[in-house]
Amino acid sequence: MAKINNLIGIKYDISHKIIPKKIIYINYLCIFVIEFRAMSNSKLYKGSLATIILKLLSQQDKMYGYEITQKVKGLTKGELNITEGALYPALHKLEAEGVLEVEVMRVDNRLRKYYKLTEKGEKETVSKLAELEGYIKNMQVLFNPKFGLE
Amino acid sequence: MNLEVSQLKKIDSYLKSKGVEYWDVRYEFSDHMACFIESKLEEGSSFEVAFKEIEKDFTRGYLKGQQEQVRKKLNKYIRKTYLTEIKNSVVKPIYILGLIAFGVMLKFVMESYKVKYSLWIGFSFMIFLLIMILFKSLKDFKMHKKSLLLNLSGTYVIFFTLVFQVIGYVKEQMLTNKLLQVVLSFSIVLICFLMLTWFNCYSKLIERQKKYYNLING
Repeated sequence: MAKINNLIGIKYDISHKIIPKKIIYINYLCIFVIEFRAMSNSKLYKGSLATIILKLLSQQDKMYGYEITQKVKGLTKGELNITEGALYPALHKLEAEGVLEVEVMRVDNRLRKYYKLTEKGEKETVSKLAELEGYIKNMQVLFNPKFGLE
Repeated sequence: MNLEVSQLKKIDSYLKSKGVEYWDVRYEFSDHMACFIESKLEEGSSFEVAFKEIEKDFTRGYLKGQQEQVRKKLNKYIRKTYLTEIKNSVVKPIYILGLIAFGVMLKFVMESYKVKYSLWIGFSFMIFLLIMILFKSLKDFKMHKKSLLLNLSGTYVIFFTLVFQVIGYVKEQMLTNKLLQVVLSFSIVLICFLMLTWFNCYSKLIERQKKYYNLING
């Protein structure tokens, strides 16, 4: 847990409930990202890549594939590296489900495919994050970690 | 630091040589590779070194697998687009009136002439749509041939033609009953409606791909 606190740069006790929700979400995302990396072979975490994509797209109007990989790498300071092999199938799946829509533009003499959230995607992001929040809370209950108390 | 056109062509040729035959699959990977190389160029690396580095990730096996993934997702996308088109068409008054008029006409033909003639009317309508689809495909043949989305969409036409062939096996003697005649009229109208909505959906997909294709060649 110290690693997580260091990554975010803050220390807090979650039981006081005075921390802004945004910070809690960022923390959840970081915890999740670290666990995702550590347990990259787990089916549980493989299915959560979509949540990361949706979260990033909810913060930015539109993003393209390479940009997403770099953003995740930057946010996690190189801890998490999303490969093309995992990213593009996830993006195409979300597109086929109508969660994402694409905008193709000509940039620097080539075509670039931008992804952005649809109306359905915005709702999906809220529900996925709530799901993630529930998951982390359950994990906390099960493993009883103490945030920032060391 | 942006890549030159010749360098982009080299990336495109590489992807083609590794089995990514469709341009609408290739351009996304091409952009990814180009972005990677550009970032390496900014760090001081050369194009050749950066290209060799990214080449390791984009192997033939990986690219073939990705193309297969895209194929599956595109099939889903086509089905979804088609269902949306059906939903939108069903609520249009012009479609409803057209379908009723078509059904009444088929019933009239069955009663006044031979039952088989109504099948011929339906069949002629489908042939007309098939010719239109063929015409649209041939118009931009190069764009169409190398587009995975349009190739997959085209196979749906075969499905409708096969369904209609089943109706063609109906014998004149089997349709002496008035109720069966109504069922036959309804089936012909339904298949023609599905084919017409498919034609509209296909035209929209062609327009979409054409826009992207023109962007590439622009």
